[in-house]
Amino acid sequence: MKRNLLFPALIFLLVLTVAFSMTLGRYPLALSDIAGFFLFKIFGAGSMEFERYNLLGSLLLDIRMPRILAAILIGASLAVAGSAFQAMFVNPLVSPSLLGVLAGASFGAALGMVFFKSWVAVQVATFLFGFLAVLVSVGIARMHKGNTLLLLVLGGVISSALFTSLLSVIKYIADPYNQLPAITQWLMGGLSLVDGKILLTAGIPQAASIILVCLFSGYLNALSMGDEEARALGISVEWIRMLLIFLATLMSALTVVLAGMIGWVGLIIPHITRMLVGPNNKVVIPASALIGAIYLIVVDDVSRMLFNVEIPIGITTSLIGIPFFAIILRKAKKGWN
Amino acid sequence: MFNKRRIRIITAIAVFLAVSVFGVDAAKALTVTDMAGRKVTVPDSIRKVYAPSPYGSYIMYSIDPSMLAGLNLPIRDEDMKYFPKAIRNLPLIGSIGGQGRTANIEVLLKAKPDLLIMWSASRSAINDKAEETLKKLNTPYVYAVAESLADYPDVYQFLGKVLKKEKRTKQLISCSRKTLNEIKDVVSRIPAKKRPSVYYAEGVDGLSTECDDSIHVELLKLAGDTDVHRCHTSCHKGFEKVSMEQVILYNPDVIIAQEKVFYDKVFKDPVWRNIKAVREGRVYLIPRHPFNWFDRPPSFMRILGLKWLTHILYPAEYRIDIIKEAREFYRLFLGVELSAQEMKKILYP
Repeated sequence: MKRNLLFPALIFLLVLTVAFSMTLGRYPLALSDIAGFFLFKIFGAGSMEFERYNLLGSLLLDIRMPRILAAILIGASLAVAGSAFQAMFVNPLVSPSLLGVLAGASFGAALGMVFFKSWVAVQVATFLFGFLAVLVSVGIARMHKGNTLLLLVLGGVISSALFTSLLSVIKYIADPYNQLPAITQWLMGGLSLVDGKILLTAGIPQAASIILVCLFSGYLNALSMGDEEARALGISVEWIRMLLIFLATLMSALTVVLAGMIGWVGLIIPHITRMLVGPNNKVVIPASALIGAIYLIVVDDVSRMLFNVEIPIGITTSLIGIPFFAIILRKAKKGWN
Repeated sequence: MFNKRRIRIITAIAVFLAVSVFGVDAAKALTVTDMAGRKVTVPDSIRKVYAPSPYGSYIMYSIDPSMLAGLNLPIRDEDMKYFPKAIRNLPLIGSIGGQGRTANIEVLLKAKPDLLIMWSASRSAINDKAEETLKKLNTPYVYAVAESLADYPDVYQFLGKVLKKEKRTKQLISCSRKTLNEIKDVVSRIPAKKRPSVYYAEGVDGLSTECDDSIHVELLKLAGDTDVHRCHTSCHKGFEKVSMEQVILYNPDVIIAQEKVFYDKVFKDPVWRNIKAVREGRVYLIPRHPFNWFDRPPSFMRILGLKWLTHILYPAEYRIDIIKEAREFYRLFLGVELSAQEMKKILYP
């Protein structure tokens, strides 16, 4: 694909996916209904019963729209965090959960569900423990001298294991009738709890950090050549790395706040993007944001449409992602050279 | 000399007599057929029992909590006041077979129960794994089986006989029978078309529910069978996720809510205002202290829950003073005396 056509094409595809997804839902709405609603809402054209108007407003603006926006934010965040980590750690197997942010946030969410009464407190705990887990990994890496990247990876392994076992402790002491199923379901991920308020609170920092990582993506090219080369280019490696880790943690922790654990997106989207656009991180980062967004919208459509009941999105992302990834694996090497 | 000898002989005889009398007493046993159809020899005098699952413990709370060797789950601090003293001081032993904390077999051995009370929701699903563990205890066990709420009187009858608490269980049986018949009678008089449709909202988002044939919503079945989510339950766990759009499509007349977080926000939420039950203020939070009246866990509290639900669904046809009824129920089944004020707190937290 020609480089100058890539971003317009991806943006067009995203808009198309959003528009198409607005028409999908368990509640049957004709295209004319949807068009009529927006014409009436924006231009005041046509006429509409008050009750019908309210119902359409709820369905389109309060139910479908926030979910689609959340899918965009989450898909983009996980894909960008994954791409940045893969470039930074010079390793194609790395995903946003590398430094323990998802494990920490899951633990925070479970802890909140068992001990706190208010949902806001649960969200705050989710966010804080996501950060705490990454802080633990970085702290462990800092304690020792040596290969920083390797120590960070090991710190992440330790921190993830720690918070995963703490999560098991919470599950064990949770009320088995009520809290345990709620925790289990939350950990499988789902966009049904997203509402306008949390979308605004989480969305702004998320969007900001995605943009910041895009702006810093030039440095990623240098980092992916190794620390020595990056230093030779006059880059203060430590600072850039910490800043990128901070931004990636911020956006990943917020995805758990919004929708629980969603795996695989942060691993496969960067690969697919590299296959499409090559290894230059200046292109990979923004492109993976768009592709991640499109992917998660589509997956969420499947989650809410396939059956009478909703399938947790964490399950759908992996069930759709894994076979796809297995098929393209042979070509996946391409984007790295 | 003579005296000493005589004393020795008398002592020996006394010891012999004592041993034979108490020995025979200890060996004295009763053979019963339990509710799973097994023939079990149980000791004649049972002082302590242990239930490997919380369900079995709940039934003991209502029969005689002082007979329990220990608890399966810790009692929440805020619930302490709803339990009689006999329960409050029981040690936490845990359970066997997957419901919550796993018991330590040696702690259990130390507690020395005379009988184990196994609970099963179906005659066919007897838990082999748990049984294997329990064989190590060398303690007889009996099955209480309740496939539905209607089986509770039978369970009380069976356990009353085994535990020699028939006087106590007779009261519980008559109360449960009376309630079950009363509700059946009330509901049968209401034509199907006049029964309000009900959505059971679980989870903090209110978007988890149960299929109408699930054991978790048995009360809905008994109180008019108008659960809007008509489907077949594939697994016992339930907690099926539905979408908001699906709930708008169902547009139920009444919502029964499990979570306070959900209940508190539902009336303010513009999306939920599309639903008839919310617009008409017919959303009800299920009372849950000291344990749930409706489900999770399913317990004898559902007998009271059935009254509460029927009263909510058919306030004109089933006129009761729910606070008075609930206080009587707590007095009879749980052995606690609550003021009308305290009961209001349980009903409308």
